[in-house]
Amino acid sequence: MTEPVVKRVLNFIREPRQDDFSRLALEVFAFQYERNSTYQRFCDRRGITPDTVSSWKEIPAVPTSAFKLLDLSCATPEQVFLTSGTSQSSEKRGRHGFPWLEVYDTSLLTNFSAHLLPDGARPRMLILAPSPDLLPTSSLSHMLEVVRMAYGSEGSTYFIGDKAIDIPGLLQTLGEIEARQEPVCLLGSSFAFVHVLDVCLADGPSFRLPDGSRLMDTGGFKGRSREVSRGELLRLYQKIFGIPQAFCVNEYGMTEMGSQFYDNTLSDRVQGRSRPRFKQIPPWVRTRIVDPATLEELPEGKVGLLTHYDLANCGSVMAVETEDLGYKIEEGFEILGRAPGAESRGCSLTIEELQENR
Amino acid sequence: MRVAAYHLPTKVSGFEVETRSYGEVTLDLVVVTPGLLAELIGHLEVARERIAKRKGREIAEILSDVFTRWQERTDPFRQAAEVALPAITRYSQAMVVHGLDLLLQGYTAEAFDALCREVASEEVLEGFVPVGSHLGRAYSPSLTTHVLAGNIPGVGLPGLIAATILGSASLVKTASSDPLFVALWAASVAKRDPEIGEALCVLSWSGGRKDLEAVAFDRAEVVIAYGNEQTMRELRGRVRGRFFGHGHRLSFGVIGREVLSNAEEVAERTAYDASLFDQRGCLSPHLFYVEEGGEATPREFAGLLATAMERWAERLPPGSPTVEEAVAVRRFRAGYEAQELVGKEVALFTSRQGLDWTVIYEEDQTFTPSCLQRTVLVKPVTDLSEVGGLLDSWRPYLQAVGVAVAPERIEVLAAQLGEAGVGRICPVGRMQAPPLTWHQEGRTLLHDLLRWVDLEA
Repeated sequence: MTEPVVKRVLNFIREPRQDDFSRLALEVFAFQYERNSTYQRFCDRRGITPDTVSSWKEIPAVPTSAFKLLDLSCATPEQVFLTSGTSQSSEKRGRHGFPWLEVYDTSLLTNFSAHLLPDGARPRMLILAPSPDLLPTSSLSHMLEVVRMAYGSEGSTYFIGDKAIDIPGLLQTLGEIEARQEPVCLLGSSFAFVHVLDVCLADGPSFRLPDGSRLMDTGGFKGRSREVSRGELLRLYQKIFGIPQAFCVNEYGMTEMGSQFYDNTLSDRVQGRSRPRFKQIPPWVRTRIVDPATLEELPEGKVGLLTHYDLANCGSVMAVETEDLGYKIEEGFEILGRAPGAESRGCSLTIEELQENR
Repeated sequence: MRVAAYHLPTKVSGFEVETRSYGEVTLDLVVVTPGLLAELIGHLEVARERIAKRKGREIAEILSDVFTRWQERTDPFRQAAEVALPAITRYSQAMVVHGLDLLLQGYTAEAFDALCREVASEEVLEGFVPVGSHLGRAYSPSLTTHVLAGNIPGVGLPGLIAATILGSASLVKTASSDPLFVALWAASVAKRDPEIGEALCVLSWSGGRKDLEAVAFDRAEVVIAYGNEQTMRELRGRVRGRFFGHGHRLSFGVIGREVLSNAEEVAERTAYDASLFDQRGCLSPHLFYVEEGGEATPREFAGLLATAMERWAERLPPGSPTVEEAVAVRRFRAGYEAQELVGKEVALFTSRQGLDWTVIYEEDQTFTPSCLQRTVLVKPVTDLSEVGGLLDSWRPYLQAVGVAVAPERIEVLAAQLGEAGVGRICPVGRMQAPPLTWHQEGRTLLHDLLRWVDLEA
C-alpha cells in the first residue's frame, strides 16, 4: 500500500489515539476530495472544500441512497460489495468499492474481537449466513469469513447452503456441543435465527450451550421472517440456546460502511461494568444523531438520523448519511431501524403506496 | 387553550371525556363506546325527522350564514381554529389563517345557490311527481356517516353540507390528525340553528375500531369516506348502505409555450398551488409538464419556479415535517442529486433552509409522483398533446390539472385531458380552491345522495 494517508488510518485503527481522529479525518477528507471527482462535485455543490473545513463535523456526508448511482471509490477497488436490496427486486442495489481491503479487515477484526471475544476466547463458530462462495458480493459474508479464518476454532462452519438453512444439521451440532462442554459462537442474520427459533419452539428442542458460548446477530427482517422485537429475541436466545442476554451481541453494519457497531454487553461483562445496552462506537468512527429536517445534532435521547464518519471508509467517502433512526445513549447510540417511507396522509398520495397498488 | 373536539346532540345522557395535548393546546375528546354510538344514532334519527321537513334552500341559507360568520377573524369558533390547528396539524400559523380564508371564500351564498340547483326541484323530495313515463320521489338518507381525513382543514365538509341540506342526519368520524375543525364547524351550526345542530354528531376514534364502525355503519344509508386505497377497500366491504369512497388521488399541471413570455408570473401561481397546505391535498400538484419552444425553456421555468417556491416559503412558511416525511424528502433529493452528478439531464433546486421546498427539472417525461412536502417536478414536452399519453398508468388516480395556456387552446387540451381520465381542469393558481359544485370523483354532491322511488300507476 503506497498511500500515506491510508497507512496512517491503518495505524490509527491498530493503535488509536483519541486526539488524532479529527486531524486524520480532515486529511482523509482532503484525500477523498482530490481523488474522487464525483464526491468533489458533491462537495462543491455545497460550497465545502478541504480549505473551508475546520472540523470533521463539517465534512459533507453522502446519503446511502447515492451509493446506488454514484461510483465513490478513490482508487480501483479490490473488492466491491453490493447491498442486498429490498423485497422490490427491480430496485437498484447500492455498490461500495474498497480499494484497500486490508483497512476493512483490520477495522473488522479489531472491533469484532473487542466486542465478541474480549476474554480472548477462540470458540467454534457456527454461522447462519451464506458463505462468500455463495454470495461473493455480500459484505456480511465476507465479514463472517474473515472472522472465521482469524478466530474460529476447528469445525467452524456455515449452516446455509443453496440459500436454505440446514436446521437439522445445526440442531445436531448444537446437541453434540452441549454434551462436550465446548463454548461456541453463533453468528448470523436475525431472520435466520428467527427461522431456527421457530422450528425449536414448534418441535421442542432447546439447549444449554456451554458457559462462555455467545451469539452475534445482525440486520432486520425485511419480510424474510416474522418480525420479532429485540427483547423477545434475547429472551428466546436464552430459552432455546441457554445463552445469557449479556452474551448476545447485536451487530449493526451496512454495505456503505467499512466499520461496524456492536452492543457493549459482552465487553462490559468481561470488564466488570454494568451499563444499559447500546451500540459502541469504535475509536476510528464518529456518529452524529441529527434532526432529519435541519441536519442539526440532537440532544441525548432524541430520535434522529444517524450520520457516520468512518476512517475505514478512506477508500470511498468517510461521511455517510444513513436512513437509520436512532438516539444517543451512554457513549454510543441505540438503533431503532430504517426510517419507513413517509406515511401517506389524507387524500394525497405517496409514491410508495401507488407503486404497491400498481 | 382547552377546546372540545366533539359535537353531540344535546339530549345525550352521559359520556366520558379524555384529553389529548399538543403543546399549549389541549383537546377534549369523547370516549366512544358502541353503546354511546347507538344512543347517539337514536337521537340523530329523531332530529332528522324534524330537519327533513324543512326546505333545503332554507337550510342552505343558514349554513351560508354560518360561513359568513367564520370569515370574521373575531368569530370565536374561527379564533379557536386559528389557535389550535397549527399545534394539531403541524401547519404553520400563517398557513392555517390563509387556508381558512381560502376555504371560506368558496362557501358563498351564490355557491350554495348553485349547489341547491343540482336537484332540479324541491318537489321531488316532497311527493311523487311525474318522472318520464311514471311518477318518482326522491328520499334523502335518514343517516349519513362520514369518515374524514385530516390532511387539510375542511376536507369532507362538502359531503356534510350536502347531507344536511337534504335533511339527512350526519354522524362524523374525524381523523386523529385533525379531530377539531369539523367539530368546531358543527358547534357553530348548532349555535346558529339548534335544530340542525341536533342532527349533527362529530366524534373521533382510532381507525379500524370494527366494534364502533359496525354501529356507525349499521343504520347509515350512505357512508362517505376519505382515506388511502386500502382503507377504502376495507371499509367498502363492511358498509351495508351505499358507499362513496374518496381514495388517494394526485394532481399535476401543464404549461403551454405561449404563456412562457410571462414565465415569472406563471411560476408564481404554480408555486402557490404546490406550496399550499404543504402539498398534503389531493389537489396539490406533483409535477408540471412544460412545453418547449416558448420564451423560457422548461429548465429555465424550473429555476423560476424554485425562486417562486422560496418566496412562498417566506409568505406561507412550511409546517414541521415528521421524521418519516423528512426522510422521504432527503431520499428523493439524494436520488436526483446523484443523477445530476452522473450527468443525467436533471437539475435539483433546493430551499435555502432545510427541507422547505424542492424543485426538480428532469428531461425524462415519465409521470413521477413527488414525495410531497413542497416537492415539484418539472418535465419538458415538445407539445402539450403528448401529455395525455403520459398519464396512462396513473389513470385511476388522477384528480385535477392546473393549466396555463392561451384561451384558444383550452378546449382541445381539456378534451384530451378529460379523455385521459382527469377529473378537474382549472387555471394554475386556483388548483386548491374548487367550486362547491365540483364533481369530486366524477360525482354530484347532492344528487348522488338521493334514493329514488318509482311509482307506476
